[in-house]
Amino acid sequence: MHGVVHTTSQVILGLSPLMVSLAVFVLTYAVIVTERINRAIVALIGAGVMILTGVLHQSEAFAGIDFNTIGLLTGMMVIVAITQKSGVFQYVAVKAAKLVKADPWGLMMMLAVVTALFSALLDNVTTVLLIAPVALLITDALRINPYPYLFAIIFASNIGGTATLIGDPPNIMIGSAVGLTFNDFALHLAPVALAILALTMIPLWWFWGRKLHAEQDARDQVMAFDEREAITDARLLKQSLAVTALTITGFVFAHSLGLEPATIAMFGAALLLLLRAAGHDPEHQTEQVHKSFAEVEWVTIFFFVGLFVVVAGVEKAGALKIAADALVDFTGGELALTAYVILWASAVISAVVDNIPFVATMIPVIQNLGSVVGPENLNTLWWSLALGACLGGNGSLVGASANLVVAGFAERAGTPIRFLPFMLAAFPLMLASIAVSSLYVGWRYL
Amino acid sequence: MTVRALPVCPPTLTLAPEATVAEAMSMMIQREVNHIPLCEPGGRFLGLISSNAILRALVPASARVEHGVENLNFVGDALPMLLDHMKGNADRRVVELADASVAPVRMETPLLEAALLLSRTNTPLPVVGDEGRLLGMMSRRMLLTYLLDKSRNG
Repeated sequence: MHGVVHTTSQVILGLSPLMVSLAVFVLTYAVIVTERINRAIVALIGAGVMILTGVLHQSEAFAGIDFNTIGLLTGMMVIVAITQKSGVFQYVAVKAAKLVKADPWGLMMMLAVVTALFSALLDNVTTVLLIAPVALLITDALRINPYPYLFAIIFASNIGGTATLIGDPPNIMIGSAVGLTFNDFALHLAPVALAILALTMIPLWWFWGRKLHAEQDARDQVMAFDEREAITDARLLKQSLAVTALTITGFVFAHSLGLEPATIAMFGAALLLLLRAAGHDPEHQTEQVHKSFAEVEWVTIFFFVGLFVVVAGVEKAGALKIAADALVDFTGGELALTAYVILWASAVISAVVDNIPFVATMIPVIQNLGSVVGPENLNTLWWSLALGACLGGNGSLVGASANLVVAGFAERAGTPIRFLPFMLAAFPLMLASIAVSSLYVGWRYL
Repeated sequence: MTVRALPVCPPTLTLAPEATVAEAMSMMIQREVNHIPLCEPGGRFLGLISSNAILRALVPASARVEHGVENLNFVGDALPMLLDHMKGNADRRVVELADASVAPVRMETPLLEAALLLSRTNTPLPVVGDEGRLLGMMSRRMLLTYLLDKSRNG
């Protein structure tokens, strides 16, 4: 997306590059929204057409791919794929449940905190994939309705993901494109994410928490869980916790060392793979490495690659400059209004469509606004975009991949989450979190 | 060679679809079997209930499904939980737990195909005739007996 424009486009049939790139862009996004064709395929086809029609040269397309985002995501996915095999997530969830003596409302708060914490440090999909099954198991043992817990897990994962650079893909993209560091995100977004998580618990308590009750014998059953038994591989646990800690420390100091997050994540992944491989014969190593790589979500990675190229195409053709001008016309270039429009529009749009393509498009749009609102004020807009896009994911069941993962799991386990009932509770709650974000942005930056 | 070569005979043990899970369980225990075909009064095959399918309904859903909890070592003594699930399932209609993946074969099905199907499941294969009427069950042992006999006696 920061593709350097070296050439003028030689678009086939002498068509206008702007029109062709817009057509490809709109068509790509329209097909992504229908979810009829796998999104990675759609994005790659769109990217291919951008090059084949001559909007972009291959070198410009490659320059448009943010390999820092790709590397950071892939590295973290490898680390998580290995770490989860140790059983550490079950351990923490069970431990948390026992800390509150298996009290239903205490359990909901604990699971929300644990989910938010893991989501801040790992990707949201992995976190909910690991926490949701344990939550279901515990509510099963408690003989209580799992729905409020799954709802809380979805909310906590998107709120937790908002807090850090590596928590949610929009933040990874924004941080990478703009050069905002891990610490920047932690200082600017973590406080408000924490506040929103705490405030979200109030309506959850009102809706469900105050009415939840578990029999003593059921609670005793959960208290009899032995979390230590959940650790399946103690050696792996030590290795992966050490590498995860090292990687996160790396993120904290990356900027002052002049390093990018992708380097840290990829190096962490390589280190963990090395520790795993040590002492095994080459054949076994190959098998292990193959398995770890196979768990990387390649669909997401290739989706990013394709999207970056599609966005580079519309950017080069000038469409995003036009969009930025339109935004300025609408807000008169006034910082506060621009920030609020970005925050609220991002939230509502991210509730219904994937926030990754949305943010990929918005980044160059906002970069174009620097001359209007002043470069020193641009960060206010980045925080608004990050808050809107990440928290907006809570607005509906399709708002974020993590929501769909929880819904898919719940459905398989026979406790389906329905689209409309979820949205009726989730959308207003999401808007409330955006209202809190507005207050925060207004108080801190405007 | 087809399924017809095997001594498939009319089933002595069937259940009506409205029988309960508890009834299926006690029948399995009494008759020392692991699978009971479900048939309409007219004899049409509706599905197969297996002890495995009943067990699957009793273990926690959170561990049973794809991407679920991988082991339950840490749950400790979960007898109350199993008994809870027992209570929840005992009165369900047995047809709800019938194994949907069990596809019946016909007398004309080639023996090799039947062998392949058997190798992929852990239940015997229902053999049906016209209008889906159950003609009998084809078990692994039936097939292995036939093959051993053929390999020895040509």
